[in-house]
Amino acid sequence: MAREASPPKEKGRSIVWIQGLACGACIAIAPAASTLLAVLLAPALAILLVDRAPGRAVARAVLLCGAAPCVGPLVTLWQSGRGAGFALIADPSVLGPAWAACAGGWLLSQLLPIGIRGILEATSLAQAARLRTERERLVKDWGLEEN
Amino acid sequence: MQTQPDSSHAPIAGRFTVDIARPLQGAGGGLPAFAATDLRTGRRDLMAVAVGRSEPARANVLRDLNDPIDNLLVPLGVGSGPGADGAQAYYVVCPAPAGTALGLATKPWTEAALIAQVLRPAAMVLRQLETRRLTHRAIRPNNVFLPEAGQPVVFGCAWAAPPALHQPPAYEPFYSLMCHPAARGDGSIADDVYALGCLLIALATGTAPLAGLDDAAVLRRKLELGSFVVIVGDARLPSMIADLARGMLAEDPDHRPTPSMLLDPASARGRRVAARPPRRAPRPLSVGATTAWDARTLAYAIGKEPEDGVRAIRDGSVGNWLRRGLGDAALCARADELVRQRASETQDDEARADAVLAMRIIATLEPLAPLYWRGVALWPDGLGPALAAARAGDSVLQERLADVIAIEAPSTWAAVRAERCDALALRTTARANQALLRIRPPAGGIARLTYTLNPLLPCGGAIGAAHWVTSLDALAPAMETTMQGGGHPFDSDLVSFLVARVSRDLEMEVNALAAHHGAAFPIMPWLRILAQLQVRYAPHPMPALANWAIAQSEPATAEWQNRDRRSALRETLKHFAAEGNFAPIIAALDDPLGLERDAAGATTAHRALARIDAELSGIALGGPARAAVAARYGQETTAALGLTALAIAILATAIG
Repeated sequence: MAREASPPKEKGRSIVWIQGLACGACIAIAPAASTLLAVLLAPALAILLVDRAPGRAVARAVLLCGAAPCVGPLVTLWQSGRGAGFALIADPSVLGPAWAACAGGWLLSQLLPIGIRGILEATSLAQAARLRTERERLVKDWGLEEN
Repeated sequence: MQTQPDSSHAPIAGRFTVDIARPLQGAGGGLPAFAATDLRTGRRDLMAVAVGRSEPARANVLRDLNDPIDNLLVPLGVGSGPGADGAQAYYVVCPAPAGTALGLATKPWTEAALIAQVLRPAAMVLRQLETRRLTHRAIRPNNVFLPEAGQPVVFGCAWAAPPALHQPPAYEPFYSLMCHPAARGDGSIADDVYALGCLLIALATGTAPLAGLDDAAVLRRKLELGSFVVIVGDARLPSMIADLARGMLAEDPDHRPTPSMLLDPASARGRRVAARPPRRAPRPLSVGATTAWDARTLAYAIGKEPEDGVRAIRDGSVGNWLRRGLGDAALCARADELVRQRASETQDDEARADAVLAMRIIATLEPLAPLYWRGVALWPDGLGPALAAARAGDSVLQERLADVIAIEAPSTWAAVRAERCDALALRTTARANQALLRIRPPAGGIARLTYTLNPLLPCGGAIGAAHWVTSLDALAPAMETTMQGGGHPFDSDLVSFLVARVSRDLEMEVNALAAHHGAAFPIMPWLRILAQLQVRYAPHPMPALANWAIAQSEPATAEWQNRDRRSALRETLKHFAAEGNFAPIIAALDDPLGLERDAAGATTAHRALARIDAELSGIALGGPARAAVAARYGQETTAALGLTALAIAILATAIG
């Protein structure tokens, strides 16, 4: 007898548990780096908690944007040792770009769809105009609406 | 006075012109005649004899009598020309007679003059006609001319009217007098001999025989007393003339001398035919208002009053009278047999069955009598002119003639008197006529038959009001003139005329036209016929007809769905209509490949329109979908940018 496939909800919960476990493991192995990342990516993590859209595209985009400025502080932390963690967190030149990148990512994820929609609408209007012209020509040439 | 050709009319037969300002009194033998000129030879001693619209000229004679015959005014040409009333008229052109008609001279002729100047020339003429299987049928004093004293007489034009139509009753034998005047048929040369005998008596006595009596009275007297006795009356004739006339006026055409015999009057007078005098009953039999003393008169009485006649036949009066009164048991037995045959036949139409019985009884009682049908008598070859006469407004006659054709009466009649006629030929003709009558008008029916049996009968309908069209060559110009005058020539009469006159190569088009039974005929067959007529006979522009055709072809034009092509076609047609030529119009309208392409284009256009409408609808309803796409792409793009920045940061850290 074939084993029944697990329902999607069950699978999602498992992934969440695995992710939680991985995060816990990271915190346990590298508590300073985890704390630094948690602070630097705090806006992105907040959006991750708030974003309930399927796939959490906004949160993902903000996380990726916010991750880029974190590379430098993480390398500095690695080279300086555990004591440098709080200094880095307290340094506005480290925290500012990271949060700014998160904000930029969020802003882009809000503005780009509007821009793309504008382009799509303009394209549709142009196509509709072309089709209407073609339609008028057909109607005029063949008298189709009379029939 | 010189004859001037009328420029508005084409010359008759391409060479003769008629001067209607110069009528020739008495030259046409009772028909109007005018001076005519031969443009080819310059000959001016010609006349054009006018033809009556319902009395068509004799087509067979005009076709077969082509060479000159001494002492006969042979036809030289036939065709339409200017009429006295401004409309077209139709003429038979022949030499104008010199001298005056005999009818205008009243002095009795001597026996020698009659033999030398009348009998011998007449015999020569009749013999010539007999060899051509033709008859004259218009020998009467006003149609025989004496050029000069002592010269042979000249026989006038007998071709411009149906045979014997204008004959005075004295000049026709009893069986011809019984017929409707237009239905006497070509008859035989013996009938001309009869008329010649009567003419000899009239000239010998210097009086017109039986003048002042109508046809019925003369017929009645001829039946009672015999032709010779009635015509001669109390007059005294030279013995030679009396002997000849007695033979020539025999009631039975087989008993009359032939034209060849008359060339030798001495032997012809000695010829005695043992003709049995008709058996006369001691007591008469009354049928209606007619009292019969012999079988011939009884036949006439039954024919004249068919209802009374059939009643007398069916109640046995006729049989009893034949057996006991006339004492002719054989005739009575034949009549009884016909009555029994009638009783045994189951007929849907009793009146028609009675008419058939009457027809058979009459043919049995008097085999010389014509075909009698419900009071109308006709000779089968006179059916055509009779139909033409009936077309002039005699609906009763037309109905009777239609009956004759519908039941193949000539076949039945011929079967009863087979020894007197060619029954097979009559049956064949009768069947052909019946077949034409059965076809639904205008392809068949009475109108088609009338035109078929009268090759020179002019087309009626709207065209006939002002034109005289007997053949296809003059048809298109007449139609154009009628159209220009505000008339509408495209009627069923014209279609019947076309069907009757059409040549083989136009049959398909004419049949397509004739197959239509409504008021409006299809345009394409008309166009093709008009184009052929224009190309063959009248190669000049006909804008009025062309414009009409264009107006009628609008449905055909509307079949084109492409607006531009349709407009271009309309413009082209207008252009061609202004030029008055039909062939380019047909070429423009009759384009099946173009129509096929047009229909295919229309189908493609329909599909394209449906596709466009679907696309437009999709665009109109696609706002949310586009928003979703924009959101997805925006966020994905942001993610991609972030990922790129991350990769660059890692790379930059790794390098340096």
